[in-house]
Amino acid sequence: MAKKKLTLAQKYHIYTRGLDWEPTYVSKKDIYPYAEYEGIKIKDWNKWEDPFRMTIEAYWKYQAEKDRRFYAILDGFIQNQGHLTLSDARYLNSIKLFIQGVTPLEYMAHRGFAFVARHLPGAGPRTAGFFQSMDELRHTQIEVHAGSNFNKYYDGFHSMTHMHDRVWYLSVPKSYFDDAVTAGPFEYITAISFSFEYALTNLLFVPFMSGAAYNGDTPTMTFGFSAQSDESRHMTLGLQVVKFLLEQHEDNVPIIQQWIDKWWWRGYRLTSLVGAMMDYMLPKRVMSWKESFELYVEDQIIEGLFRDLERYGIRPPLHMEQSIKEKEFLSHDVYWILFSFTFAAAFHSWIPTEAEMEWLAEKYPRTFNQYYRWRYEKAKEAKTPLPGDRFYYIGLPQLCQVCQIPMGFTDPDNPNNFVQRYTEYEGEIYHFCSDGCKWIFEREPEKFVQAWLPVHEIYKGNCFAEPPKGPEDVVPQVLKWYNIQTDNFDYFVSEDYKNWKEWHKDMATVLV
Amino acid sequence: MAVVETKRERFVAVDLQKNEEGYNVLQAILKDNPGAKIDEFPGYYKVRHPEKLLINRETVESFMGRPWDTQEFNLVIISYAGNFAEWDDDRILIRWDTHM
Repeated sequence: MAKKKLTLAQKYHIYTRGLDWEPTYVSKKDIYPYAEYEGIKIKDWNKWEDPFRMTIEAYWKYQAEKDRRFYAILDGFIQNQGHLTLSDARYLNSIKLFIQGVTPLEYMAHRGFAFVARHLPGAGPRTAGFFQSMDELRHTQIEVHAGSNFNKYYDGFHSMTHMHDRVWYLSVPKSYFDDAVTAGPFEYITAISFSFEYALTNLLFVPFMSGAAYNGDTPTMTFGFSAQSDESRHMTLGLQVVKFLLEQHEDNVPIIQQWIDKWWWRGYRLTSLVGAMMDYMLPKRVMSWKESFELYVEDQIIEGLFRDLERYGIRPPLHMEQSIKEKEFLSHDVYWILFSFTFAAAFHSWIPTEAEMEWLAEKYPRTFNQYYRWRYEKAKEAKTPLPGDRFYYIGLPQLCQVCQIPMGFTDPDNPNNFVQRYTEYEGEIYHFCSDGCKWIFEREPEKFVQAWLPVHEIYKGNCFAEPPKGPEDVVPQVLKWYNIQTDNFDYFVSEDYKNWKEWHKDMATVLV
Repeated sequence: MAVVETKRERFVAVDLQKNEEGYNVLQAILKDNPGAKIDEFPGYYKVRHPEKLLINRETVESFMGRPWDTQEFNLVIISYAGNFAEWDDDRILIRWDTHM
C-alpha cells in the first residue's frame, strides 16, 4: 500500500520546528542577543502557530506562480503600449509617489524581516519572518520592473533610491521605516506586521490598487494585489505574534499597548499620502479616502480586530479618535501641501477640474466646499513667478519633528486653524503637527531629537549640489542635489503633458 | 464645526481577485455561506459575512472542475478581515475569536 500523504499540519511541523535544534555548545542568550532587552517575556515559543501553515516547498511553488502571472501581464502591457491607454497621464503622478516613497520601504522591510528571521528565538516566527523577508524583496523587484516601463516615457521615475534618501516629502516614509528598523525585534514586528500590515496596508494595496485597475494600469494593479496577497500572510503573522506575546505574559500587555499606540499614529500619518493620491491624483476614482477609511479601518479594525483584543486587556490605539475626526480633512490637507510645494517635488500637481471639485464636494459635504475649494480658486489668481499659471508657496515649511510632514493639518474641532504643538527638551523647542506626534516624541525624545529634517538640513547648508550663488540659486541647487530635472511644477506645463497630447493628438476622448 | 460621523459594522471579509479562479472561489463561498454579501470593485470582489466564512475544498473543486489544493487560496486572496481559525487540507475557516 502506498504511504499516506502528509497532512498540511504535519508537513508544517516537520518543515519548521522539525528543522530546528537545541544548541549545545553556545548559549541561547549568545545566539539571540536582542531577545530580552525590550522587556518582553516568553515562556514557551512552541505555543506559536502559523495559521497559513506555509512550508518552504509550498512557498516557492505559489510565489513562483504569482511572479509568472505578474510578468505575463507586464509583458502584455509593454508590448501593447499599454501606457497610452491609461485614463490620463496625470494618473502616473500617484505612481511616482508610490515608486519613490513606498518601493524603497519594501526593500527596508526585506532587511527588517531578515533581522526578525535571524533574531527571534522561536522557529515558527523565524520561518514566517524568513518568508516575509523574501516577499518584501519580491515586492521591490516587481514594483521596480513595473516602474521601469513608465520610466521610458514619463518624468519622475528615474532616481527613486537617490531621491528617497534626500527629498523632503520622501523623508516621511523614510523616517517611518528608519524608526521601525532601529527598534528591537519585538517592537519592529509589532510596528510593521501588526500596526502597519494588519491595520493600514489595506488602504494602500486594496482601494488604491483598485483605482489603478480603474485607470487602466494593469501592471500596478497586478503588483499591488500580488503584493497584498503576501500581505495577507503578513497580516496573519502580525496578528499571531501580538496574540502570542499577549498570551505569554501579562507584563507584555502594557509594552504592546504602547507600541500599538505609537505605531498606529506613525502609520496613519504615513498613509495620509495615500489619501491625497486617492482623492486628488486618480483621474477616475473608485472610493474616497473617507469611504475606504470607514470600511478598512472603522469596520475591519475597530469593530473587528480590536474587539478581539479586548480580552487581552488591549484597547484601540490612543489617538484613533483623532484619526476618525480627521477623515473628512486629511486628504485635502495633504494634497494642498503637495500642491503648494510642487516646485520642489518629483511629481506634478494641478488644480482639480470643476468636475473633480464636484466629486470632492459630494464625497466630503461637510468640508470640501467650506474649507478647501476657495484655496484652489485663489490659487488660479495668486500667480507666482514660476512655471505654471498658478500659486506655489515660495518658501520652506515647518516640519513636524516626528512624522516630518509640513505642519498643515486642520484642527477638526476648529477647522479654521492648523494644529501646532510644541515641547521643550534640553533647552530646545520641537514642533509637532498633532497630539499624536507630540506624544510619540515625549515618550522617546532621545530618539526623535536625532531626526534628519529636510528643511532644517537645507538651512544648515547640507543639501546643495554646489554652494548657491545667491538667494535665487538656493532652490535650484537643492533640486540639483535631489536630482529633480523636469519632474516638478504644474502638470499642465510638464513634459508629460506635452508628450501625452502629442501621442494622443488624433484621439478625441483625452482630456486636454 | 464638523461633527464626527461613524458608521460601524462587525463582519469577516475576504477580498478576492476578479479573475477566473477568484470567481470560482467566490461562487463556492456563496454556496457554503448563506448570508454572505458581495461588493464589486474594479479588479476585486469583497465578500463579507457577519460571523464566518468557510471555504470548502470540495465545493471549490466543483466550480473549478479540477482538483484544488487549499493552499492555492494564496493565489486569489488579496486581503481579509478576521482570523484564520482553521486552514487544513479540506477547508479554510475565517472568523473572529470573540463572537458578539
